[in-house]
Amino acid sequence: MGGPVVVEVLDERGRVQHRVALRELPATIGRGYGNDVILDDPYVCPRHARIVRDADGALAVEDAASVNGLRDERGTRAERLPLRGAGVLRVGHTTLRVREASDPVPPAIADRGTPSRLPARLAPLRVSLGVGIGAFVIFALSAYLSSTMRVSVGDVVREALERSLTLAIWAAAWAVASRIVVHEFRFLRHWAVISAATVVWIVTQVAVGWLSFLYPDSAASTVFDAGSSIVLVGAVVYAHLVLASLLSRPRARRTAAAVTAALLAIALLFSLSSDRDSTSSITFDGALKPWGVRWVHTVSLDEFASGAADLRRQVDQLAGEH
Amino acid sequence: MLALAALLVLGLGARPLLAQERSSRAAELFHRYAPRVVKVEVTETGSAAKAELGSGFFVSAHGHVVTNYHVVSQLVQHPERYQASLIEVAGRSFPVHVLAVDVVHDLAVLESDARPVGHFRLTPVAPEHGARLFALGHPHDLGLSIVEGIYNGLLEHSLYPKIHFTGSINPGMSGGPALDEQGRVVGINVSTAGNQVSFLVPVERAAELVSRALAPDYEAPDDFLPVIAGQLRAYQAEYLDGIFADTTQTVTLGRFRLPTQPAPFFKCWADADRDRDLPYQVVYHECSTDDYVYLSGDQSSGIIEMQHELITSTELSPSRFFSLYSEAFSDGDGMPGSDEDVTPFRCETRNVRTRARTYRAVLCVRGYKKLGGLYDAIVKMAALGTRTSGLMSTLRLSGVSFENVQRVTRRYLESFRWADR
Repeated sequence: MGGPVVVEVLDERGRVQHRVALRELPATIGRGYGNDVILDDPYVCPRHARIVRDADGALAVEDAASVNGLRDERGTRAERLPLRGAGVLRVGHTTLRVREASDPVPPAIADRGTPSRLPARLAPLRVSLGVGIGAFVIFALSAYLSSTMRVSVGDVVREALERSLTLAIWAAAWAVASRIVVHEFRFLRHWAVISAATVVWIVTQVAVGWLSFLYPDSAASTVFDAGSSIVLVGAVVYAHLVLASLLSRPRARRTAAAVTAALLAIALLFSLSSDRDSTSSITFDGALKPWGVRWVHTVSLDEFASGAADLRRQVDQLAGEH
Repeated sequence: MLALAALLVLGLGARPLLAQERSSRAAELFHRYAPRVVKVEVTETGSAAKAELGSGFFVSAHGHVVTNYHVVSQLVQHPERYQASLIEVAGRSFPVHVLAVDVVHDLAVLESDARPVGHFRLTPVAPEHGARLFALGHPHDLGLSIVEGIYNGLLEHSLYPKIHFTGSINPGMSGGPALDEQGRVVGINVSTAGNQVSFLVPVERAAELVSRALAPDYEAPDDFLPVIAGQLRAYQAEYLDGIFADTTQTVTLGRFRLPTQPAPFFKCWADADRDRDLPYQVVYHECSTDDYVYLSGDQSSGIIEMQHELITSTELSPSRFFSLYSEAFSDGDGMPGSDEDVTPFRCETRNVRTRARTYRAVLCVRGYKKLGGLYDAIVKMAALGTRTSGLMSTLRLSGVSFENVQRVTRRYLESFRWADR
């Protein structure tokens, strides 16, 4: 025994901030520049402690008459701390871990694809905040255009703010998940993701409206609506997942697809169970636009009437099932 | 209103002179004809609970009784669940069966083993406007009563002529006779609009049904539903014949010239919504039939309604105006109807071009389950190609053949015009 020793300085989450390799023992720990392990911590004395190896080859740390002393993992103060197990101790407000160079480390994790670069791309404040604020502006515009009453700037801002804040609550839930899994809140990034997705949703709804205005007789708007909604939900789940975990891209994609499929199944089940055709009420497809009437797909009255024959077949069949 | 108030004062002033004569005539008629009037009771077989109560009157020496279809509609629709009996004024009770129905005019002929001492002969009577009539029946099951009232001619806005009777007809009197001073049946009590405004089915309709039902070769059907469906189909074919014809009157709303008063039996009215707090104005023009055919507690038929709605705004931009227009157009619609009687609605949505312009048009149809060949339809349309004004119109048809759904929808859509063309 007697090989090199590594002292690791840990942050409050237990992650290694830096390491000092010690070739010889005893070695000194303290705030002063003459120490082997220099700690930038005002609660640490200029010369605070010593790492020693005793006759049996076991490692220990001894207090060098410091003001705040040494504490073990549980916070119990001691003059001399034998380093066993994890080898963690507290000096001042700093947590240290002392390792033998011969200590084993776990094998490497097999690389199943690189992690997404999205967390890094959204990391700059100007990016995530910019997306969130841009979305806010779009929310305000959308609130204004869909308002049918007299509105003031205050009304529009309030409505957009309500939307942004609702999305912030959603982002906060994901931020908590991120904090647990990757030890970072990443709130602004989650907020940017859901804000951007909401903007995309607003845009697709406008497109759906135009499709159903131009082609009310085709399934185009319904198919586009359903398709874009599914893709959007999948994308949102994927983005939140890569922000809140260290999953590789393929695994995040698979998970997002599975979650989306599950949500879709729930939605289908729900709509099947609640879709009792009403015999007394109907709703109309009311996507009307002030422009583009010359491009709408029209039918003649004759074609409209012959389409009605199909309705007759449908209701006669329903009446026959009775 | 002033004229009406004056008449009332005059009527009150004349009272002492008339009162004696009036009461003696009513007493005489009651005394003479009460034995010819019966109570009709429909009970649920299982619970023996009273389901419906009305009145009726003998029209033959062999126990045939005329009443309203709506009094016995449950028995007609569910013969396995209900039974009916008549109760003479003397208290004797006899089971009855339905012999014939005229659902359009809300009449039924029942047969029983009763052998009345006297019965009414149904002949056409044409009372003078203002003549005194006496309605007999069992209001609220309080015992046979006689109600005096005034003959006020035939209704203008009804699908078939009904007698406007000014007198209190109350629930339970349905199916009872209304007599003139000579004791001749003028009409059959059928409905009330409250405040002494009541309606009678003219006696001619009952006379027709009775002569048909008592003809030697007549046989009562086992199932009345196909008969009822046939009557409704024939009826709608007749009254929808001239609807929305080229000669239909028009009304101008903004830049649109629209159909109004599609047929004489429609009532039309208009209204406007010009709330200063709203950045738009709405003008309505509505027409509807004042009348309907009673089928069952859950289902009526023969109602036609049309509503035009012109929305204009000088404040909203085209985008915002069309948010409003789309919202107004997507507003749900419907008609009462239970799962037992009608199918769910099925709709087709199209942009339709007519010679005048382009419309978004939706046609929704549901079928009658028990009355084959009859449908309800809702047509909703909105004019396209405008910027800050919009026209929407809705047409509701009930109890019509599919051919008429198509024909009327077509005529209706064709009847819209630009005012400046």
